[in-house]
Amino acid sequence: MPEDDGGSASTGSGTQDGDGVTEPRTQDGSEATESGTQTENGVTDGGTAGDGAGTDEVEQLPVEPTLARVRTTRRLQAVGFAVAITVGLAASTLHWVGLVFGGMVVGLVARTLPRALVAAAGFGLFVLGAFAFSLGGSIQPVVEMAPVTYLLIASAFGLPMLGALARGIV
Amino acid sequence: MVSAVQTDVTRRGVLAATIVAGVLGISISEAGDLFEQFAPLSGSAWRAAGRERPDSLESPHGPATVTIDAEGVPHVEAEDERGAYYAVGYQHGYDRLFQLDLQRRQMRGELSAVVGDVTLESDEFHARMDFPEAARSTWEGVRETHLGPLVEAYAEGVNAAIDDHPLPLEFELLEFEPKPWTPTDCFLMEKQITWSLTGNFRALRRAVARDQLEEPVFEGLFPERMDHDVPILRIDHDHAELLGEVRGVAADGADGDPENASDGNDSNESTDARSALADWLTSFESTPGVGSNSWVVSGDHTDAGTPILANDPHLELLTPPIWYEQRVRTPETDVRGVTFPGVPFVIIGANQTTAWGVTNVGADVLDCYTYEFDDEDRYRYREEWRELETEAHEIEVSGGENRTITRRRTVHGPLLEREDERVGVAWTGLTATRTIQAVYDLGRAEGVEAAVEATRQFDAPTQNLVVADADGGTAYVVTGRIPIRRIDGEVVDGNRLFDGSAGEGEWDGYTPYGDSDWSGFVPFEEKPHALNPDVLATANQRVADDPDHYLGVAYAEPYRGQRIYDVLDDTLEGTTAGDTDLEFHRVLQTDTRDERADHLLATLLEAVDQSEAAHEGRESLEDAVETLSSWSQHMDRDEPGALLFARWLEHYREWVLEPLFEGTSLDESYAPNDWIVAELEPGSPVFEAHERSRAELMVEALRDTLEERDAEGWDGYGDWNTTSPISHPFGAEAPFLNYESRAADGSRATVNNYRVESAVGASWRMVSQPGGEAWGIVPGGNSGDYFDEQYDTQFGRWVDGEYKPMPLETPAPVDAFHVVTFTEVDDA
Repeated sequence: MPEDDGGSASTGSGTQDGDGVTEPRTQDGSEATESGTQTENGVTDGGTAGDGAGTDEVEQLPVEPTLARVRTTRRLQAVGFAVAITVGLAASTLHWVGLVFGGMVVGLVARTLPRALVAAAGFGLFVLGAFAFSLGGSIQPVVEMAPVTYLLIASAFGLPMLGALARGIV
Repeated sequence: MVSAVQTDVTRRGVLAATIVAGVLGISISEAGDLFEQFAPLSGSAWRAAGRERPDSLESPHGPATVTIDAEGVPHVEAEDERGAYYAVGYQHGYDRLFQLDLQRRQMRGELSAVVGDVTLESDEFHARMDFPEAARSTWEGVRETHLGPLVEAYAEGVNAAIDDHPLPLEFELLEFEPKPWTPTDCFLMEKQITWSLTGNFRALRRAVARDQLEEPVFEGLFPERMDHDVPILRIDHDHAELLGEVRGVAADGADGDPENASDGNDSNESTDARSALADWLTSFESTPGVGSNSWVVSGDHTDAGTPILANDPHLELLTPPIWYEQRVRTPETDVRGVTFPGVPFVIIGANQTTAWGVTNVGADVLDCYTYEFDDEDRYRYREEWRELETEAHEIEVSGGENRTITRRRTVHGPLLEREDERVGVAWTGLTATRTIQAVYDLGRAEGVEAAVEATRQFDAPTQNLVVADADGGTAYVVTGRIPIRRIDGEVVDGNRLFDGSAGEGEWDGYTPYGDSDWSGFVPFEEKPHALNPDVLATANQRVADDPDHYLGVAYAEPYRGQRIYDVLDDTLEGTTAGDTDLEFHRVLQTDTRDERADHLLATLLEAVDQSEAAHEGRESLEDAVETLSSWSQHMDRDEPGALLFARWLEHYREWVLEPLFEGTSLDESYAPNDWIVAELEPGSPVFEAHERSRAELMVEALRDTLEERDAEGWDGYGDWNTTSPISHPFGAEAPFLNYESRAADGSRATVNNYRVESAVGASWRMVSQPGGEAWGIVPGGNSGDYFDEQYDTQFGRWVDGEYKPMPLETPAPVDAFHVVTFTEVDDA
């Protein structure tokens, strides 16, 4: 599920990405670099909050530098997605809230909220694939279980996407 | 900047709130329950999809091998019968666990504990009847016999399957778990079967009908006897020699007691009608239309020179089927056939030498008693006032308030009550019965003689049993205990309400919920028999014109019996051996010719031709007349004529009966059968109650039929006659559990029996040549597990009238669906 953050995100102007969503600029107005020393939320690597002052610094949610680096580094992000999917999948076998959690952790690795939603949907697809695999020979009867199948598909996509909204928070 | 930050904070807050509210909202709503059940990976329902048949298991009763063939039929083989029936129990527990538990709950009056108050009325009825106590007394009688350990092993096998596997889907959907299976539960299943075949309050309902209808109308709709000449035992000069040695009926021309043969006689003018009680009880009677076909022809009329036997019981068609096919091979026997899940032994089937089948007699084995009560709620019994036996019973209700009822009993049995109306009930199934021994002995019978002997212990239900063996033997026996009633020392029939306070009509030798000695019942030798008949057919019609003893009144209309005898007579008359083969009997068993058309069609066409009303709008009826005139009289799915006739008959019944029932409490359950309606002549008092003649009603019904057909867009019979009524008990809530809806052949009057109005029909078809081939099929699949490959594999073939072979031969492992090996438990 890793998304191609390529150079466009890291070297772009920071005003708008391919999703048409305004990317937050760094506190000092500089662009994030590929090295990941500065995140899209404007928090510099090392935990210091730029040169902004007062209220702005207090109201900015701190983002762990590691997470920021994961989001902006292709290889790390791929690993992050892999870990998130694995953890999410494990959680999804326990309870339906696990699907929300799975969507959340997958979404947190994504670089933007829209991409988090797409990633969560992808996670839902992955869950459905794992579910189909777990059914073995029972897959056909399950497919024929309308309207349960509608619920099944809706929950596979909807619940992770609900969790992925967390990307808009952190 | 501050504003942007505040907006950002607000946005985050909204998102956080959305997530929290979303999760909490789902959790506390019904959606949360649905996700608990159906979310991918974690949904509880999917545990059921993970059920897998084991390859090997341990058994406390020794080794056994279960080879499940390609049709899902288990072939159980063991050296020790206990090992075999442990494996049988395991198979029933694996394949039909929900069905087992649901039927048990129904008979115990415990449905509401899992489905809520919608089944409270049913639970109250079953609790008042106290079937479990009758099952317990039956098990007490069996426990110390040879069968006791086999039944115990069977129950252990069911419980092992419960313990070893995730529960079937229905348990996950309804969110409950089954209690362990007990030997008593096996006998509860026996009571359930017996009730479904013989539990009716016809006498009570007749009393209500008599009370509410004018006497001439009542006499027209409830005649003493259906005037047909095709009883099971045709002792007329033309056919008597085909019956072999006949017992229990008067010879042709002898002075019999016609009352004994009545189809609807009600000699007791009871005005003590209990309509509220009767209406309530109607809901719990045996399903209308429950019946069956069976016949046997001797080896003189088969190509192989040995008899052929056919049987198709017409019971409720459900998903999964009520029958379970199995084969059990032990040193004692090798028997294959069908049983009801919960009953260890084959009920209908064949072993190496002998085949047998059953149909319902329609015997009267339930009586209702009225009482005189005093102010202290004591009832008078003969010369004394007696206290009712009472017991508080709580009915658990899921999601509602539990209901506590007071169970009451009189000397005759349970006291059923509704709106201050009360009757005591005696029913032959409410005492200890030995039927299980008879069923077991039938499975081991080496010939007709042993099979007939086995039926001595077939205490309930009353059945027409036909049997044939590889040596050429054939027989017909009426099974079951049949009470003899007396009033003031004089024998009377049972189709009435009895004065329980006066001790009228009591059954000598009957002890409700205890051991009965049956001393006052019809002796075995005096029940109708036919030994070594050449040709004999049963289709729930009157057993005989003049039986030695009153049997009952709940006989079916004679259409199916007529058709079977007509085909057999036409084929076998004057011919020699080698006339019929198994294919001939399979074709007859799926025959769709409707004898009602012979009874009514010409009259209808004549009515259309002569009716003035018809002339006024004749154009609209001409096509219908042409369709009906050219119709083959077969109820086949693509026949437009069959559609018109079937729907016309329904409309005609409505035109005739509804005005008569208006202003009364009588509903469809009181309606007479098609034969009686067809027999109503133009001058019948029934039509005097109408403003129009019979012919006019017939034409009006045809107009209604055409309007309905056009409105519904129907073309062929199968557009209306579909299998959609065949449903799972929870098919309305979970429609995927139902079988696919298919266009079907057959009607309630055809040999190929399918009653779309009540989902009753051929619940098992079997044609067997003892010692040779046998064929059979169930309407669905042998497995009741929705996720199992064998869930519905036979359904389409059943609809199309096809069969599958049922050999006494274990398939090679490579050809098997699955093989389970049971090994001795290693105590070490």
